[in-house]
Amino acid sequence: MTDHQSVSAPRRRARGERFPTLRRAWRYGHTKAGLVLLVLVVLMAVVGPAIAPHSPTEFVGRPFAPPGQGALLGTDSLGHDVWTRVLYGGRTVLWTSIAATVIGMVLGTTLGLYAGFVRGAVDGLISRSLDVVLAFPQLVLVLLFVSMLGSHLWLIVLLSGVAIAPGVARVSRGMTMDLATRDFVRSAELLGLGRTRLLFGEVLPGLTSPLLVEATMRLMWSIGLIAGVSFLGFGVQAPAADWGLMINENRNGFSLQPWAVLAPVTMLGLLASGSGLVAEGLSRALALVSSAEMNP
Amino acid sequence: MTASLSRRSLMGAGAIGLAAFAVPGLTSCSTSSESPGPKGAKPVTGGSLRVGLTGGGSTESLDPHFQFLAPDLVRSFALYAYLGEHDGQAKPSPLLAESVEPSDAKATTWDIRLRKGLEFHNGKTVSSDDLIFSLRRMLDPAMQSSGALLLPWVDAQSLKAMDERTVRVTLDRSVSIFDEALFNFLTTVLPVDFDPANPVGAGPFKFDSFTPGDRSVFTRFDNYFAGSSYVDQLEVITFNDDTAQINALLGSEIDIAGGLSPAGAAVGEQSGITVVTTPSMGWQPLTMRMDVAPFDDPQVRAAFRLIADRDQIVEQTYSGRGAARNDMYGWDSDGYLADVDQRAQDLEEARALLEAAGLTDLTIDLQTTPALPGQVEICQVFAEQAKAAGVTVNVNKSTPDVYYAKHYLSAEFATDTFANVPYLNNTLQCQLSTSPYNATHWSDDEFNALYDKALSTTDAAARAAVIEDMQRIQHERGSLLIAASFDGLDATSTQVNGLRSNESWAFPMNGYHLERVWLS
Amino acid sequence: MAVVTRDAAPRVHWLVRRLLASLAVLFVVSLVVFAATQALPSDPAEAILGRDATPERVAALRDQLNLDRSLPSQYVSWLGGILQGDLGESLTRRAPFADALVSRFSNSFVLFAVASLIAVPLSLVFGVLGATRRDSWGDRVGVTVSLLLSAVPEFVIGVLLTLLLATTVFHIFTPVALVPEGESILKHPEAMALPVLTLVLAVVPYLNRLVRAAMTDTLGADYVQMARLKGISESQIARRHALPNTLIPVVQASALVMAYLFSGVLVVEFLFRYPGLGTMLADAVANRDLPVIQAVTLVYAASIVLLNLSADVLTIWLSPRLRTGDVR
Repeated sequence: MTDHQSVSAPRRRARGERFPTLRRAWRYGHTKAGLVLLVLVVLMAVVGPAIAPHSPTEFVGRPFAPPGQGALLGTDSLGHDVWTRVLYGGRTVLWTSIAATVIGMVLGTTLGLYAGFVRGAVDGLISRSLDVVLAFPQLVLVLLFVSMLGSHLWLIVLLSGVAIAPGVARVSRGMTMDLATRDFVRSAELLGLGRTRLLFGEVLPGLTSPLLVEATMRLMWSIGLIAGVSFLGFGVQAPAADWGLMINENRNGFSLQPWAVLAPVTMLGLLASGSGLVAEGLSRALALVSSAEMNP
Repeated sequence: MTASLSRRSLMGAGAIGLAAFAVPGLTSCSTSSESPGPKGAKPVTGGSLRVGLTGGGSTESLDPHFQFLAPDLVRSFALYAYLGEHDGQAKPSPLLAESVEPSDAKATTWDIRLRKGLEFHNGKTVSSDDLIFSLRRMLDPAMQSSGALLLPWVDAQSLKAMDERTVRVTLDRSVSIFDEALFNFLTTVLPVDFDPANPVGAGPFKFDSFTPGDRSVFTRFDNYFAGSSYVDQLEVITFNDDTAQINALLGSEIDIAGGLSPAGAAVGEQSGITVVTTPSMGWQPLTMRMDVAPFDDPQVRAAFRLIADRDQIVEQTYSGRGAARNDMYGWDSDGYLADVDQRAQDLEEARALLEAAGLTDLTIDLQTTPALPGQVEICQVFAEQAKAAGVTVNVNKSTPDVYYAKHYLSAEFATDTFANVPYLNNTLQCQLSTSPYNATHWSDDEFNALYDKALSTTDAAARAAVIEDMQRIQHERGSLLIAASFDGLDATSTQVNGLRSNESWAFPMNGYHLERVWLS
Repeated sequence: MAVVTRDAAPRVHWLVRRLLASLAVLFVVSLVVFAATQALPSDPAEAILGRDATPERVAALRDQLNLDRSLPSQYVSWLGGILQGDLGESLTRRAPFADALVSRFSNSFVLFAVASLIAVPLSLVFGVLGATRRDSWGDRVGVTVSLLLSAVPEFVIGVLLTLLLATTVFHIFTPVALVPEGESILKHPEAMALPVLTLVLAVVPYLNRLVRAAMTDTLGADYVQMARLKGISESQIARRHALPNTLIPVVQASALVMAYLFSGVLVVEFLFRYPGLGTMLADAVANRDLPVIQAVTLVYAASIVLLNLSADVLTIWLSPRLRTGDVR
């Protein structure tokens, strides 16, 4: 593992110096562009339904009709308005990928903290368990349980979170192991601080920046994973408007009416790219090269 | 002129071979159009015909008495020959059988007479022993083939060989339309030593190889009774995916893409491929169980029928490739109630009826499965239409295995797909209390009595009048919501000749008669 | 750089421990796989018979499939069978599927290998170029393009490529892999074109940025600064000093990316109807064919474990410091 250089120990800083990483990141063009994209997409997802010209399940023309009056981007496989469904289709993707990322981050960070701090048998157990999860290709893991229990959204979110967790755990474990040897942690220990308080009060704050980078990377991954699950037919079900589902539903009519696929593709791409750009900016700011980017 | 064509011309009147080259539009129906090929082109022999289909899987089977999946049916029609079929004019047409006639006035016994000189792939002559064996196999309760349900009146033990090609069948009641019922896709003739692992039949193609869910290969059988096929070899390939199927055709990896969805057909047309249309090949009803709430109340059933905007269903579900229907099937049969007004959407009346029934804000689950194109989509379209009447329809899509295990035949509101076969055949399948596919649990005394009468009526005109009465009942208080019929769509490359559009087959690709296709 | 101690024993020790750990992981994986398939809400026998499920037939099938025995007993006989090479029968085909599995696996492996053999060197090249010319105009474009491409799910890349190269714009490649069952994909190499291209386009953008990042990190290290001060040229630095030290994290990253490739391969196979393990799994999932689902998942897991093991061995071999056995 390569050394990282900038996790700072002292917790109290002067006002103007708070969140130096974020400030540094903000200066990059990458981060600005990424944030703009993210904000755009989130806005569209949240506000979209309010400005949509039709209802997402309303019929406005023959299936796969080209753009024309009443349908800015043409119609989809059943004759719905593509533009309306694009406006409505971000919510599920947003909340499922965010939820999956949050679950993965919480699970992974906690496991990593404990494994990195306590070491020994606990570390061994946790690391082996993570290896077991990592032994499955992410999609196969989701498919395995979805095929048995059915394509419930909560299940997919949970499984995606579990699939993401090991990578996060590795990062936080590595850093915790390093931080655990630092003086401020040692002194807190000597003061008799309970382990939980220690981990979440002293160690965790030191990890926030790299974890932030992780989170944005994971978000990008979970978008792709959940879209893949939808593509195979196991995700959100019709007639719900969802970007991932739209790609699946409408791909057999791509040559007839490409917008029904291109529009959700663009939105998913913008969302994931935005996330990726922000991650890039943050990681550069941290000059963190190894852990965050090396652990998919 | 080739040898096969001259053999064809020797077969005499009624031979299927000649009928295929009859002048289009001779017998009835709209103008049929041929698959591409220069006008008046002579058929050429040779080549390998590759047919791609969806809807298959690893449960595919070569057993002629267990045919469920589309690729299975293509193979069946290739390998095995049937006693008869319902042809492009929707009329019963004998194939292996020379004649199927009642041998008594009441039509309780029938004689099936096979053609002379029929051969199996191994050269053995087809005889009445083979026919008896095949019928017994089909009807054997241990086999549990659905064939037994399609011919419920046959007493398997009573089958008697009258001579080397005639079999007398004794029925447990009078059945005037036994020939019609007999001509289904399961009544084939197999040799008495039939082995499903190495199948031998009397069809136009011989068995070569078979991998379930993947592909199968067949070669020409030179002594097929109706004239041997033009192509040397037939390959049937299963695709998982609509898109892969049409892409394979566009990439010239297959010659025919059978059973396309409307989108697939449109993609093909966009690229200059010809689409062979079989108008109104089938129908997909919404089934309402009339023995439980809420559909035990005929007012509620009537309300739901008034919710359906049938033209919109045709437009959105089938992209216009279909026709609005009037809650009755059998539109090609004698006795179809054509003079009743086409039911249209009437939301006000629907709401009023529901209110009268005390169900103003009804919520109901609609069970469906993507067994065939359109089966899920029609539900989604109907659900959207129902909103305007204050009814919330929750479309529940299950995979076919779960659907058929859990919901089929028991859900209060569900879907199904039927081929357009003669009225009494369809009725036997789904509208009798003894029917295998009676998802609506329909049982109406008046209707049952009329059915009995129809079966016993030997005069065709009188029977048509009885059928009209039956349809009146179904139209007024029936439990099937038949909003539309859909067209069968096949796409062919420009090399393929011999398939005609606008004929009234019950199956795609001109009733699967691939032996009449040639490659130019 | 630490002094290299060539001591074989710790290496062997480490190898053995690593192997045992891998086996333990595989064992737990098999438990998970087995347990998952017991979570089916519907009765497997009913699910298979579908439309024809009568109580008698269901009972007969349950008996035939030993579904009535206790769970541990089922697990033991299942695992025992697998270890002996008997994978059981496919529930849908009612026939052994071990041969089909081997054939499908080799096809998937070929696809994976070809894609990796193209993607990894390409990523190395682009990554090194990007690192040595960091922040140049070309690098910025490269990073942006990589970011955008890696954001797009691989099946979308596949769909777009199909339309571009096979069906609508150009007609260079075949859109669908039509390979007879049981035949090796090596007899139909043209069927690999689009799938490989899709996978490469899906992986290179991601991997090359990892390489670039690792390389940048190394290039900033002290000893490299020293080399620069000494006047050694940049390219020499890159080749002699930075690259070898970058290789370790790159190997680890490649392993992880290749493991990710397994997921991607599944979707891409499904899209192109490629006769590999992915389509076999997708079909099995659609049919709830439990023995096949179990076997294929195990194969995937074993492949990944093996991949990681190889990566670790390679890492050890590349890194003198770690050879002494002091490994985390």
